[in-house]
Amino acid sequence: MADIMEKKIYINTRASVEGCNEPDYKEFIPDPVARRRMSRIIKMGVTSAFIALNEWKGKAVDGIITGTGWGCLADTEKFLNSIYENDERLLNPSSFIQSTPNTIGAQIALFLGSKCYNVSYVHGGISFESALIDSISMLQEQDNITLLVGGFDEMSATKEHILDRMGVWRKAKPGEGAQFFVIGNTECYQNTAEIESVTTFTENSELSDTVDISSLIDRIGVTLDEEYRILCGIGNPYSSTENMGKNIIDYKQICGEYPTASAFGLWHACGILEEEPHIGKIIIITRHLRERISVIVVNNISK
Amino acid sequence: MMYNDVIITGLGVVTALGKGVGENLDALVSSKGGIAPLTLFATNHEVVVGEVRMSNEQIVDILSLTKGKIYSRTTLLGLLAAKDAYDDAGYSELNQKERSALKIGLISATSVGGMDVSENFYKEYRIDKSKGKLRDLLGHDCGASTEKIAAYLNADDFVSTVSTACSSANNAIMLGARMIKLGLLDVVVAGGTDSLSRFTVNGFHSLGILDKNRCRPFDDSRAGLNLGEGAGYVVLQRSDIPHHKAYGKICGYANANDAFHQTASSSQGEGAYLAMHGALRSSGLNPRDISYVNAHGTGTPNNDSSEGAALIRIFGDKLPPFSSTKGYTGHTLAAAGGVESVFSLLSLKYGYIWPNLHFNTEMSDVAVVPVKDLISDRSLNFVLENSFGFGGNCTTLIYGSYNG
Repeated sequence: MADIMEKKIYINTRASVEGCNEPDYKEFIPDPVARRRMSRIIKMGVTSAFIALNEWKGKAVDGIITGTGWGCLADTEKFLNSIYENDERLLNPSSFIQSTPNTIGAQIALFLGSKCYNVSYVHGGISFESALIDSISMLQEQDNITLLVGGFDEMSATKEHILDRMGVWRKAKPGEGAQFFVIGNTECYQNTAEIESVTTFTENSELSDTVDISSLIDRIGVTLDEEYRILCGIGNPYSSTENMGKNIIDYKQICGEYPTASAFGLWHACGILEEEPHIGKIIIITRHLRERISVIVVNNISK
Repeated sequence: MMYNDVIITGLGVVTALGKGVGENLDALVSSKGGIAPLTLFATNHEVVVGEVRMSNEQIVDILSLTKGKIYSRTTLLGLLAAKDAYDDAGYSELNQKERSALKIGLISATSVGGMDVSENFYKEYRIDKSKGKLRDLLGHDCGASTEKIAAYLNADDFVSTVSTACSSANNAIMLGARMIKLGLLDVVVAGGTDSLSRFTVNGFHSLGILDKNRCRPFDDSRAGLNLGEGAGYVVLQRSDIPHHKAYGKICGYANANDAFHQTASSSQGEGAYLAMHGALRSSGLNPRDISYVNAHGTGTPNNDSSEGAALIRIFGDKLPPFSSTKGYTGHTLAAAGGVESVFSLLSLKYGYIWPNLHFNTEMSDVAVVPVKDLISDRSLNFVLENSFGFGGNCTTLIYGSYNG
C-alpha cells in the first residue's frame, strides 16, 4: 500500500458511538417514525456518521464507505425467527429490508440526499480495513475529495450467547460500536492525524499461536525513530522486543471484542495524538478471533 | 500517476443454465431459460426459481473437497465458478516461483452468505439455546465464503467481500479493476456468489415482488422477479502480464446512489442514470459508442420503469440494443453482476446479443423495447452492464473489445 501513497490521507473529523455509551438519538434522528423503524445498530451507525459530518466544516463528502463484520444482526435474527414462528406466512418485510449490511450506508445517503459513491464491505475482522483501503485508493485516484468512512457492529444477545458457547469470552470481553471518520487528501485546520498505511495480512491459520509484533512492523516497512504507541487488539498472545513493551496498549480492554474494533482503535489513536502531541506515530494492530491480522499506521501531522 | 490497463483473461459461471461457460453459452444461444419450480428446500410459497441443477454433494465431488466438512451452498457455487475462471486464465498452473512473483487477490460479493447452513442451526437453537451445531455457523459471515475460495485458489494476497445487495458483484469487479490500475494488485478474481435460501425466498415474498410465473423483464405485464442462484467471476489482470487470451478490457465504471428509498427506485432512475453517466465519463466514451446494454431488468414493475427512464435519459432516441438476461437465470442477487459480466464479455467476444426472454408488449409508461430474438455475428465494441440494488446502490461497468 505504502508505495502508491503519493497523496497524504488526512483524518478531518471523527466520531464514536459505543454500545456502553449511547447518545440520545432524538438529537440526531429527530423524526420519531424514522427512529422507531431503525434497529439499534442503524441508530448507532447513522448517529456516529452524523456526528463526524456535523463537525466537518468543508464541502459535502464524495463517497460513503462502510465496513461491518456482522451486519445487521438483530434484524436478520428477527426475520429468521418470524419465518419459523409464522410458518412463512404474512411476514413483515421491515426486518428483511433492514437485514442487509448496506442498510446503514444507504440510510446515511437517504438522509443526506447524497448520490455519491456508496459501498459496504462485509469481511469479518477486516471489514473496516476494506472500507479504508477502498477510501485510500479513491483518495489517490482523485484530487481534492473527502470521504465518509466508518465501521460498526452490534452485539446481540444471541451473538453474545453463541460466542460464549464457542468459548470466545474466556479470553475476551464482548464489545460493539460505530466509528465514523471524514477523511480527505487536502490538509486543513481540522487535521490532527494522517493515515500512513493500511495493511491486511495473508496469514490465517499458521499465525494462530503467537503474533510477533516486531516482525509485523518490519514487514510493512515502518521505522520507529520517534515516540510511538502500539494499540494492540489481538486476542492471541504476542511477542515483542523488550523496549517495545512499554509502548503497547491493549485497546480491546476498552472497547471489547468485535469484528470492526479497529475502527475504535483508529478513533482512539486520534484522541491520543491530540492529547499527547509529543507522540509521532501510532500503530494499530488488530486481529478478530482467528482471522486475518491488520495493521493501520497513523502519524501525528504536527510532527 | 501512471495507471495500468485492466483486461479480462478468464471467465467462470454457474447458473440455472448450467455449469461453466460452455453450458451457459449453449443455453443463451438457444434462448432456453432455466426457470422452474423450487426443489432445493420445502416452502409454503408457490415460486419458480433459477436453481443450479446440482446437489451440494455433487459439487463437493467435482471440486474434490473433504467430505463431511460443512460448506454453505454459496461457498460451493462460488468455488465452482471462481475455479473455472482461474483455470481459464491459466493461473492454476503457476508454479510456486511464478505465483510468488504476482500479487493475486480475490474480491467477492455475497448477500446471503452461509444463511442456508445458519438456518439449520437457528431452527434448533431458537427452541433450545443449548442446541444447534456450532460448526454450522462457521460459514455464516459473508467473508467466510470468500476466504474459502481464496484459499482453494491460492489467490489470497488480498481478500475482501462487498455486500451492497444486488449491485454487489459489480462493486467487487470495480474495486478489483481500481486496485490493479493503481498497482496494488496484479491479478484479481472478482465477482459474486449467492445461493437460494429460505431467508431470501421469504424476504422477497414478503415484499410482494416475486412473480409466480416466469419473469418478464421490461414487458408491460411484468409482475415481479424470479429468484435465482449462481456465481460469476472474471479474472482481471494488468494487460502487460503475459496471457494467452483476453475476452475484453474494462473501459469504465461508476457507482452512484439513488438516495430515494431503501428498496424502491426513483421514477426517473436517478441512481441508474448517474451510474451509467459516470461510467461513460470514466471511459471517455459517448453513448453512441455503446453496442449493447446488458440491463439490470429484474422484472419488477418499479425497477424496469425506472431503468427504462434512465436509459432514455442517457441514450435519448438512439437507444442501443438492450436486454435483461434475468429471464434465463432469475435474479442471482449479489452474484448478478458477476454472472452478467460473464454474459456481457461473451457477447463482446463472440458477437452475440442475448434476447430478453418472455417479452411481448412495450411498457405503457416508458417506451423502450428490448431485443426479442438472438442477434449473432454482430461486431460489438463496447458493452455496458448495469446492476442495481436495495439501498439505492447502482453500479455500471463498461467492457470493451481487446485484441492483444
